[in-house]
Amino acid sequence: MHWKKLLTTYLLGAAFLLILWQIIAFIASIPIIPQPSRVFTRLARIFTSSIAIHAAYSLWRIAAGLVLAVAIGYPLGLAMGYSRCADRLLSPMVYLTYPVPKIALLPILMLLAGVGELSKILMIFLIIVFQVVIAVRDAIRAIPEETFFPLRVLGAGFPAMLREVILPATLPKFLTAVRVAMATAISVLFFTETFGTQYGMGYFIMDAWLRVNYLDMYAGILVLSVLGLALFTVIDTTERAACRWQR
Amino acid sequence: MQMNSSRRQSLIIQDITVTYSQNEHASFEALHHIRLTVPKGTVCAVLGPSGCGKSTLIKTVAGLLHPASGTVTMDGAPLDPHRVTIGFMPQNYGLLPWRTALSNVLLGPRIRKQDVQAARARAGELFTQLGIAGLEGRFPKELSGGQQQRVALARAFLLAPDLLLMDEPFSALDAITREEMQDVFLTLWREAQTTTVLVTHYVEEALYLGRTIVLMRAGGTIAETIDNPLFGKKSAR
Repeated sequence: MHWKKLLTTYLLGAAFLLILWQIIAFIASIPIIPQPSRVFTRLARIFTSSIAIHAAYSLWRIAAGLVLAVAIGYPLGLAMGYSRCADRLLSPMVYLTYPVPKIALLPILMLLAGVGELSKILMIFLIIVFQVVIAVRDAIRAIPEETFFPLRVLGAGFPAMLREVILPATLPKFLTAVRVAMATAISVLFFTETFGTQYGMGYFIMDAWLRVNYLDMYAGILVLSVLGLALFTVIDTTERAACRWQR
Repeated sequence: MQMNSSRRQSLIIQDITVTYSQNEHASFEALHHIRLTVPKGTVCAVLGPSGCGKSTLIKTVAGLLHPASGTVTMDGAPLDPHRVTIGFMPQNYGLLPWRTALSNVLLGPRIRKQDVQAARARAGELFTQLGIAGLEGRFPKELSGGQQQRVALARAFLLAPDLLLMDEPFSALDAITREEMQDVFLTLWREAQTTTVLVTHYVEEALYLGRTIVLMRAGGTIAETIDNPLFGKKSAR
Protein backbone atom coordinates (compact mmCIF):
# COMPACT_ATOMS: atom_id res chain seq x y z
CA MET A 1 0.00 0.00 0.00
CA HIS A 2 2.72 2.40 1.11
CA TRP A 3 4.87 1.61 -1.89
CA LYS A 4 2.03 2.01 -4.34
CA LYS A 5 1.23 5.42 -2.90
CA LEU A 6 4.86 6.52 -3.07
CA LEU A 7 5.24 5.30 -6.64
CA THR A 8 2.05 7.12 -7.68
CA THR A 9 3.28 10.44 -6.28
CA TYR A 10 6.66 9.99 -7.95
CA LEU A 11 5.05 9.19 -11.28
CA LEU A 12 2.71 12.16 -11.00
CA GLY A 13 5.67 14.43 -10.24
CA ALA A 14 7.60 13.06 -13.21
CA ALA A 15 4.58 13.50 -15.47
CA PHE A 16 4.18 17.10 -14.35
CA LEU A 17 7.84 17.88 -15.09
CA LEU A 18 7.61 16.22 -18.50
CA ILE A 19 4.54 18.26 -19.41
CA LEU A 20 6.32 21.42 -18.31
CA TRP A 21 9.34 20.50 -20.40
CA GLN A 22 7.14 19.74 -23.40
CA ILE A 23 5.39 23.12 -23.12
CA ILE A 24 8.67 25.03 -22.83
CA ALA A 25 10.16 23.12 -25.77
CA PHE A 26 7.06 23.83 -27.81
CA ILE A 27 6.98 27.56 -27.05
CA ALA A 28 10.76 28.15 -27.32
CA SER A 29 11.20 25.83 -30.28
CA ILE A 30 15.02 26.15 -30.36
CA PRO A 31 17.55 23.28 -30.76
CA ILE A 32 18.91 23.75 -27.22
CA ILE A 33 15.55 22.73 -25.74
CA PRO A 34 14.58 19.57 -27.62
CA GLN A 35 11.25 17.81 -27.12
CA PRO A 36 11.27 15.17 -24.38
CA SER A 37 10.08 12.45 -26.75
CA ARG A 38 13.16 12.93 -28.94
CA VAL A 39 15.47 12.83 -25.92
CA PHE A 40 13.89 9.62 -24.65
CA THR A 41 14.16 8.01 -28.08
CA ARG A 42 17.84 8.92 -28.20
CA LEU A 43 18.38 7.71 -24.66
CA ALA A 44 16.83 4.34 -25.46
CA ARG A 45 19.08 4.03 -28.50
CA ILE A 46 22.43 5.00 -26.92
CA PHE A 47 22.01 3.91 -23.28
CA THR A 48 23.56 0.46 -23.46
CA SER A 49 26.00 1.32 -26.23
CA SER A 50 27.51 4.47 -24.72
CA ILE A 51 25.89 5.98 -21.60
CA ALA A 52 25.86 2.87 -19.37
CA ILE A 53 29.64 2.73 -19.02
CA HIS A 54 29.77 6.42 -18.00
CA ALA A 55 27.00 5.92 -15.45
CA ALA A 56 28.85 2.90 -14.06
CA TYR A 57 32.05 4.96 -13.65
CA SER A 58 30.18 7.75 -11.82
CA LEU A 59 28.43 5.26 -9.60
CA TRP A 60 31.68 3.52 -8.76
CA ARG A 61 33.35 6.83 -7.79
CA ILE A 62 30.44 7.76 -5.53
CA ALA A 63 30.36 4.30 -3.95
CA ALA A 64 34.12 4.26 -3.35
CA GLY A 65 34.09 7.78 -1.89
CA LEU A 66 31.14 6.92 0.32
CA VAL A 67 32.62 3.65 1.60
CA LEU A 68 35.91 5.40 2.34
CA ALA A 69 34.12 8.28 4.12
CA VAL A 70 32.09 5.90 6.28
CA ALA A 71 35.07 3.66 7.02
CA ILE A 72 37.07 6.63 8.30
CA GLY A 73 34.34 9.03 9.42
CA TYR A 74 32.29 6.63 11.52
CA PRO A 75 35.11 5.46 13.81
CA LEU A 76 36.35 9.04 14.10
CA GLY A 77 32.90 10.32 15.09
CA LEU A 78 32.57 7.38 17.45
CA ALA A 79 35.83 8.21 19.19
CA MET A 80 34.91 11.88 19.45
CA GLY A 81 31.44 11.15 20.80
CA TYR A 82 32.58 8.47 23.21
CA SER A 83 35.72 10.00 24.63
CA ARG A 84 35.99 13.61 25.78
CA CYS A 85 39.73 13.40 25.34
CA ALA A 86 39.52 12.40 21.67
CA ASP A 87 36.97 15.15 21.13
CA ARG A 88 39.21 17.82 22.65
CA LEU A 89 42.04 16.70 20.38
CA LEU A 90 40.10 16.33 17.15
CA SER A 91 37.36 18.96 17.41
CA PRO A 92 39.55 21.97 16.52
CA MET A 93 40.84 20.21 13.43
CA VAL A 94 37.38 19.20 12.30
CA TYR A 95 35.93 22.65 12.93
CA LEU A 96 38.77 24.45 11.17
CA THR A 97 38.60 22.28 8.06
CA TYR A 98 34.85 21.63 7.88
CA PRO A 99 33.80 25.05 6.46
CA VAL A 100 36.48 25.04 3.74
CA PRO A 101 34.68 24.47 0.42
CA LYS A 102 36.17 21.13 -0.54
CA ILE A 103 35.95 21.88 -4.27
CA ALA A 104 38.55 24.62 -3.70
CA LEU A 105 40.99 21.89 -2.75
CA LEU A 106 40.58 20.13 -6.09
CA PRO A 107 43.70 21.67 -7.67
CA ILE A 108 45.78 20.55 -4.70
CA LEU A 109 44.20 17.10 -4.74
CA MET A 110 44.92 16.76 -8.44
CA LEU A 111 48.54 17.77 -7.90
CA LEU A 112 48.94 15.30 -5.05
CA ALA A 113 46.79 12.39 -6.22
CA GLY A 114 46.93 12.90 -9.96
CA VAL A 115 44.09 13.69 -12.31
CA GLY A 116 42.87 10.09 -12.37
CA GLU A 117 40.43 8.09 -10.26
CA LEU A 118 42.00 8.75 -6.89
CA SER A 119 41.53 12.52 -6.80
CA LYS A 120 37.87 12.16 -7.83
CA ILE A 121 37.18 9.58 -5.15
CA LEU A 122 39.06 11.62 -2.54
CA MET A 123 36.96 14.67 -3.40
CA ILE A 124 33.73 12.79 -2.69
CA PHE A 125 35.29 11.33 0.42
CA LEU A 126 36.18 14.82 1.69
CA ILE A 127 32.65 16.08 1.17
CA ILE A 128 30.93 13.19 2.95
CA VAL A 129 33.41 12.46 5.73
CA PHE A 130 32.93 15.67 7.73
CA GLN A 131 29.16 15.34 7.73
CA VAL A 132 29.49 11.76 8.95
CA VAL A 133 31.98 12.62 11.70
CA ILE A 134 29.85 15.41 13.11
CA ALA A 135 26.55 13.54 12.83
CA VAL A 136 27.91 10.43 14.55
CA ARG A 137 29.58 12.43 17.30
CA ASP A 138 26.43 14.42 18.05
CA ALA A 139 24.24 11.33 17.89
CA ILE A 140 26.41 9.54 20.46
CA ARG A 141 26.36 12.57 22.75
CA ALA A 142 22.57 12.62 22.53
CA ILE A 143 22.24 9.07 23.92
CA PRO A 144 21.05 9.38 27.54
CA GLU A 145 23.53 7.81 29.94
CA GLU A 146 20.78 5.62 31.41
CA THR A 147 20.45 3.78 28.10
CA PHE A 148 23.73 2.06 28.88
CA PHE A 149 22.85 1.14 32.47
CA PRO A 150 21.00 -2.14 31.90
CA LEU A 151 23.92 -3.30 29.76
CA ARG A 152 26.62 -2.16 32.13
CA VAL A 153 25.15 -4.02 35.09
CA LEU A 154 25.27 -7.16 32.96
CA GLY A 155 28.97 -6.62 32.46
CA ALA A 156 28.63 -5.81 28.76
CA GLY A 157 31.86 -4.89 26.99
CA PHE A 158 32.38 -2.34 24.26
CA PRO A 159 31.39 -4.64 21.35
CA ALA A 160 28.01 -5.31 22.99
CA MET A 161 27.49 -1.58 23.68
CA LEU A 162 28.29 -0.87 20.05
CA ARG A 163 25.88 -3.50 18.77
CA GLU A 164 23.03 -2.90 21.18
CA VAL A 165 23.14 0.87 21.69
CA ILE A 166 25.61 2.93 19.69
CA LEU A 167 24.98 1.60 16.17
CA PRO A 168 21.17 1.71 16.31
CA ALA A 169 21.14 5.06 18.14
CA THR A 170 23.41 6.76 15.61
CA LEU A 171 21.89 5.24 12.47
CA PRO A 172 19.13 7.85 11.82
CA LYS A 173 21.44 10.88 12.10
CA PHE A 174 24.16 9.06 10.18
CA LEU A 175 21.83 8.28 7.28
CA THR A 176 20.51 11.85 7.24
CA ALA A 177 24.09 13.14 7.05
CA VAL A 178 24.88 10.83 4.14
CA ARG A 179 21.74 11.92 2.34
CA VAL A 180 22.56 15.61 2.74
CA ALA A 181 26.18 15.11 1.70
CA MET A 182 25.15 12.99 -1.30
CA ALA A 183 23.56 15.93 -3.11
CA THR A 184 26.77 17.94 -2.86
CA ALA A 185 28.84 14.89 -3.73
CA ILE A 186 26.98 14.37 -7.00
CA SER A 187 27.38 17.99 -8.09
CA VAL A 188 31.06 17.97 -7.25
CA LEU A 189 31.50 14.64 -9.01
CA PHE A 190 30.08 16.21 -12.16
CA PHE A 191 32.68 18.95 -11.91
CA THR A 192 35.64 16.65 -11.26
CA GLU A 193 34.63 14.40 -14.15
CA THR A 194 35.25 17.24 -16.58
CA PHE A 195 38.98 16.83 -15.92
CA GLY A 196 41.40 14.05 -16.68
CA THR A 197 38.98 11.30 -17.60
CA GLN A 198 37.05 10.00 -20.57
CA TYR A 199 34.48 8.25 -18.46
CA GLY A 200 31.73 9.42 -16.15
CA MET A 201 28.49 11.29 -16.58
CA GLY A 202 30.24 14.64 -16.16
CA TYR A 203 32.53 13.84 -19.06
CA PHE A 204 29.69 12.51 -21.19
CA ILE A 205 27.50 15.59 -20.73
CA MET A 206 30.28 18.11 -21.30
CA ASP A 207 31.55 16.16 -24.30
CA ALA A 208 28.05 16.12 -25.84
CA TRP A 209 27.84 19.84 -25.22
CA LEU A 210 31.16 20.50 -26.98
CA ARG A 211 30.01 18.33 -29.89
CA VAL A 212 26.83 20.45 -29.98
CA ASN A 213 24.89 17.21 -29.68
CA TYR A 214 22.04 18.44 -27.52
CA LEU A 215 20.07 15.21 -27.64
CA ASP A 216 23.03 13.27 -26.21
CA MET A 217 23.55 16.01 -23.63
CA TYR A 218 19.95 15.86 -22.45
CA ALA A 219 20.04 12.08 -22.33
CA GLY A 220 23.10 12.40 -20.07
CA ILE A 221 21.42 14.92 -17.80
CA LEU A 222 18.44 12.59 -17.54
CA VAL A 223 20.63 9.63 -16.56
CA LEU A 224 22.54 11.68 -13.99
CA SER A 225 19.23 12.82 -12.45
CA VAL A 226 17.93 9.28 -12.29
CA LEU A 227 21.25 8.22 -10.71
CA GLY A 228 20.81 10.82 -7.98
CA LEU A 229 17.19 9.82 -7.45
CA ALA A 230 18.18 6.16 -7.20
CA LEU A 231 20.84 6.91 -4.56
CA PHE A 232 18.33 8.94 -2.54
CA THR A 233 15.79 6.15 -2.77
CA VAL A 234 18.34 3.61 -1.55
CA ILE A 235 19.21 5.75 1.49
CA ASP A 236 15.54 6.48 2.19
CA THR A 237 14.60 2.83 1.99
CA THR A 238 17.45 1.84 4.29
CA GLU A 239 16.36 4.47 6.78
CA ARG A 240 12.75 3.36 6.63
CA ALA A 241 13.69 -0.24 7.26
CA ALA A 242 16.32 0.34 9.92
CA CYS A 243 14.65 3.15 11.86
CA ARG A 244 11.15 1.71 12.09
CA TRP A 245 11.32 2.19 15.88
CA GLN A 246 11.36 5.96 15.53
CA ARG A 247 7.98 6.35 13.88
CA MET B 1 12.29 -20.06 37.10
CA GLN B 2 15.32 -22.14 37.93
CA MET B 3 15.75 -22.02 41.68
CA ASN B 4 19.22 -22.65 42.84
CA SER B 5 19.39 -21.69 46.47
CA SER B 6 23.18 -21.72 46.57
CA ARG B 7 23.10 -18.90 44.05
CA ARG B 8 21.07 -16.71 46.35
CA GLN B 9 23.38 -14.67 48.45
CA SER B 10 23.09 -11.90 50.96
CA LEU B 11 24.12 -8.41 50.03
CA ILE B 12 26.29 -6.40 52.38
CA ILE B 13 26.79 -2.68 51.91
CA GLN B 14 29.64 -1.56 54.08
CA ASP B 15 30.37 2.03 54.95
CA ILE B 16 29.58 3.46 51.53
CA THR B 17 30.34 7.13 50.95
CA VAL B 18 29.66 8.66 47.54
CA THR B 19 30.69 12.17 46.54
CA TYR B 20 29.87 14.11 43.39
CA SER B 21 32.34 16.77 42.38
CA GLN B 22 30.50 19.95 41.48
CA ASN B 23 33.57 21.70 40.14
CA GLU B 24 37.30 21.51 40.68
CA HIS B 25 37.08 22.88 44.20
CA ALA B 26 33.74 21.82 45.64
CA SER B 27 32.23 18.38 46.03
CA PHE B 28 29.00 17.21 47.46
CA GLU B 29 28.41 14.11 49.56
CA ALA B 30 25.41 12.16 48.32
CA LEU B 31 25.82 9.17 50.62
CA HIS B 32 27.42 9.24 54.03
CA HIS B 33 28.77 6.00 55.55
CA ILE B 34 25.85 3.78 54.59
CA ARG B 35 25.76 0.33 56.17
CA LEU B 36 23.11 -2.11 55.15
CA THR B 37 22.62 -5.87 54.97
CA VAL B 38 20.00 -7.39 52.72
CA PRO B 39 19.46 -11.06 53.63
CA LYS B 40 19.25 -13.49 50.72
CA GLY B 41 15.82 -13.98 49.24
CA THR B 42 14.23 -10.85 50.64
CA VAL B 43 13.02 -7.53 49.31
CA CYS B 44 14.53 -4.46 50.88
CA ALA B 45 12.58 -1.28 50.21
CA VAL B 46 14.56 1.94 50.47
CA LEU B 47 12.22 4.79 51.33
CA GLY B 48 13.01 8.47 51.50
CA PRO B 49 12.30 11.95 50.18
CA SER B 50 13.65 13.01 46.79
CA GLY B 51 17.26 14.05 46.88
CA CYS B 52 18.12 11.89 49.90
CA GLY B 53 20.47 9.72 47.84
CA LYS B 54 18.36 6.59 47.34
CA SER B 55 18.98 6.55 43.59
CA THR B 56 22.67 7.08 44.24
CA LEU B 57 22.63 4.12 46.62
CA ILE B 58 21.08 1.75 44.10
CA LYS B 59 23.39 2.93 41.32
CA THR B 60 26.38 2.36 43.57
CA VAL B 61 25.21 -1.15 44.36
CA ALA B 62 24.72 -1.73 40.64
CA GLY B 63 28.31 -0.69 40.04
CA LEU B 64 27.27 2.28 37.92
CA LEU B 65 28.82 4.72 40.39
CA HIS B 66 32.06 4.26 42.22
CA PRO B 67 32.02 5.03 45.93
CA ALA B 68 34.68 7.25 47.45
CA SER B 69 35.00 4.69 50.21
CA GLY B 70 33.33 1.49 51.35
CA THR B 71 32.49 -1.79 49.64
CA VAL B 72 29.53 -3.70 48.31
CA THR B 73 29.85 -7.45 48.66
CA MET B 74 27.72 -10.46 48.01
CA ASP B 75 28.55 -13.54 50.01
CA GLY B 76 31.92 -12.15 50.98
CA ALA B 77 33.16 -11.24 47.51
CA PRO B 78 32.96 -7.84 45.84
CA LEU B 79 29.97 -7.48 43.55
CA ASP B 80 31.24 -8.23 40.07
CA PRO B 81 28.80 -8.24 37.13
CA HIS B 82 30.72 -11.12 35.54
CA ARG B 83 30.31 -13.34 38.60
CA VAL B 84 26.91 -12.25 39.86
CA THR B 85 23.91 -11.70 37.60
CA ILE B 86 22.44 -8.30 38.40
CA GLY B 87 19.08 -7.19 37.10
CA PHE B 88 18.63 -3.43 37.00
CA MET B 89 15.34 -1.68 36.38
CA PRO B 90 15.72 2.08 36.05
CA GLN B 91 12.97 4.62 36.55
CA ASN B 92 12.16 4.92 32.85
CA TYR B 93 12.10 1.09 32.45
CA GLY B 94 15.39 1.13 30.53
CA LEU B 95 14.02 -0.45 27.37
CA LEU B 96 16.04 0.08 24.20
CA PRO B 97 13.79 2.11 21.86
CA TRP B 98 15.17 0.43 18.73
CA ARG B 99 14.44 -3.09 19.92
CA THR B 100 11.08 -4.82 19.91
CA ALA B 101 9.54 -5.95 23.20
CA LEU B 102 10.76 -9.51 22.71
CA SER B 103 14.21 -8.42 21.65
CA ASN B 104 14.42 -6.18 24.74
CA VAL B 105 13.48 -9.09 26.97
CA LEU B 106 16.18 -11.22 25.34
CA LEU B 107 18.86 -8.58 25.97
CA GLY B 108 20.26 -10.44 28.99
CA PRO B 109 20.85 -13.77 27.21
CA ARG B 110 22.37 -11.91 24.24
CA ILE B 111 24.83 -10.00 26.40
CA ARG B 112 25.66 -13.04 28.50
CA LYS B 113 25.98 -15.20 25.39
CA GLN B 114 23.46 -17.69 26.72
CA ASP B 115 21.19 -19.96 24.71
CA VAL B 116 18.84 -17.43 23.14
CA GLN B 117 16.52 -20.14 21.75
CA ALA B 118 15.85 -21.57 25.21
CA ALA B 119 15.41 -18.05 26.60
CA ARG B 120 12.89 -17.34 23.85
CA ALA B 121 10.63 -20.14 25.09
CA ARG B 122 10.84 -18.86 28.64
CA ALA B 123 10.21 -15.30 27.39
CA GLY B 124 7.04 -16.53 25.72
CA GLU B 125 5.83 -17.92 29.06
CA LEU B 126 6.61 -14.63 30.79
CA PHE B 127 4.76 -12.63 28.12
CA THR B 128 1.69 -14.77 28.71
CA GLN B 129 2.01 -14.63 32.49
CA LEU B 130 2.36 -10.84 32.39
CA GLY B 131 -0.60 -10.42 30.05
CA ILE B 132 1.42 -8.95 27.19
CA ALA B 133 1.32 -11.92 24.82
CA GLY B 134 0.90 -10.67 21.27
CA LEU B 135 2.92 -7.51 21.85
CA GLU B 136 6.30 -9.19 21.24
CA GLY B 137 6.88 -7.38 17.95
CA ARG B 138 6.00 -3.90 19.18
CA PHE B 139 8.57 -1.20 19.81
CA PRO B 140 8.59 0.49 23.25
CA LYS B 141 7.12 3.63 21.70
CA GLU B 142 4.08 1.63 20.65
CA LEU B 143 3.41 0.39 24.19
CA SER B 144 1.64 2.07 27.11
CA GLY B 145 3.54 2.84 30.32
CA GLY B 146 2.08 -0.22 32.03
CA GLN B 147 2.98 -2.45 29.09
CA GLN B 148 6.54 -1.13 29.00
CA GLN B 149 6.76 -1.84 32.72
CA ARG B 150 5.63 -5.42 32.13
CA VAL B 151 8.24 -5.85 29.40
CA ALA B 152 10.88 -4.51 31.80
CA LEU B 153 9.72 -6.97 34.48
CA ALA B 154 9.83 -9.83 31.99
CA ARG B 155 13.38 -8.81 31.09
CA ALA B 156 14.43 -8.63 34.74
CA PHE B 157 12.95 -12.00 35.68
CA LEU B 158 14.05 -13.80 32.52
CA LEU B 159 17.61 -13.18 33.66
CA ALA B 160 16.91 -15.06 36.91
CA PRO B 161 19.27 -12.59 38.57
CA ASP B 162 21.09 -13.15 41.83
CA LEU B 163 20.31 -9.57 42.70
CA LEU B 164 17.50 -7.38 41.43
CA LEU B 165 17.77 -3.61 41.73
CA MET B 166 14.76 -1.42 41.05
CA ASP B 167 14.92 2.36 40.99
CA GLU B 168 11.42 3.81 41.51
CA PRO B 169 10.10 1.18 39.12
CA PHE B 170 6.41 2.01 39.38
CA SER B 171 6.47 5.74 40.02
CA ALA B 172 5.75 6.84 36.46
CA LEU B 173 2.47 4.89 36.38
CA ASP B 174 -0.99 6.04 37.39
CA ALA B 175 -2.27 4.83 40.78
CA ILE B 176 -4.38 1.93 39.49
CA THR B 177 -1.74 0.60 37.12
CA ARG B 178 0.86 0.99 39.86
CA GLU B 179 -1.06 -1.23 42.29
CA GLU B 180 -1.60 -3.74 39.51
CA MET B 181 2.12 -3.80 38.74
CA GLN B 182 3.01 -4.21 42.40
CA ASP B 183 0.87 -7.36 42.43
CA VAL B 184 2.45 -8.59 39.21
CA PHE B 185 5.87 -7.99 40.70
CA LEU B 186 5.03 -9.85 43.93
CA THR B 187 3.68 -12.84 42.00
CA LEU B 188 6.87 -13.10 39.97
CA TRP B 189 9.01 -12.45 43.00
CA ARG B 190 7.35 -15.20 45.07
CA GLU B 191 8.28 -17.72 42.38
CA ALA B 192 11.88 -16.60 42.12
CA GLN B 193 12.58 -15.21 45.62
CA THR B 194 15.29 -12.97 44.21
CA THR B 195 17.27 -10.80 46.59
CA THR B 196 15.89 -7.38 45.72
CA VAL B 197 16.59 -3.76 46.56
CA LEU B 198 13.74 -1.47 45.60
CA VAL B 199 13.87 2.30 45.86
CA THR B 200 10.62 4.19 46.27
CA HIS B 201 9.15 7.38 47.62
CA TYR B 202 5.71 5.85 48.20
CA VAL B 203 5.18 4.74 51.78
CA GLU B 204 2.44 2.27 50.76
CA GLU B 205 4.71 0.72 48.17
CA ALA B 206 7.47 0.24 50.71
CA LEU B 207 5.01 -1.30 53.19
CA TYR B 208 3.54 -3.65 50.60
CA LEU B 209 6.72 -4.76 48.84
CA GLY B 210 9.48 -4.45 51.43
CA ARG B 211 10.37 -7.32 53.76
CA THR B 212 12.64 -4.78 55.39
CA ILE B 213 12.24 -1.05 54.98
CA VAL B 214 15.21 1.27 55.08
CA LEU B 215 14.29 4.84 55.86
CA MET B 216 16.72 7.37 54.45
CA ARG B 217 16.89 11.03 55.28
CA ALA B 218 18.32 14.05 53.54
CA GLY B 219 22.11 14.08 53.65
CA GLY B 220 22.47 10.49 52.52
CA THR B 221 22.21 8.65 55.82
CA ILE B 222 19.98 5.86 57.05
CA ALA B 223 17.48 6.97 59.70
CA GLU B 224 16.06 3.59 60.52
CA THR B 225 15.81 0.00 59.32
CA ILE B 226 12.44 -1.60 59.97
CA ASP B 227 11.44 -5.25 59.84
CA ASN B 228 8.10 -4.95 58.08
CA PRO B 229 5.30 -7.24 59.32
CA LEU B 230 2.95 -5.94 56.62
CA PHE B 231 5.05 -7.31 53.74
CA GLY B 232 2.84 -8.67 50.96
CA LYS B 233 -0.37 -7.83 52.78
CA LYS B 234 -2.86 -5.96 50.66
CA SER B 235 -4.23 -4.20 53.71
CA ALA B 236 -0.96 -2.31 53.82
CA ARG B 237 -1.99 -0.09 50.94
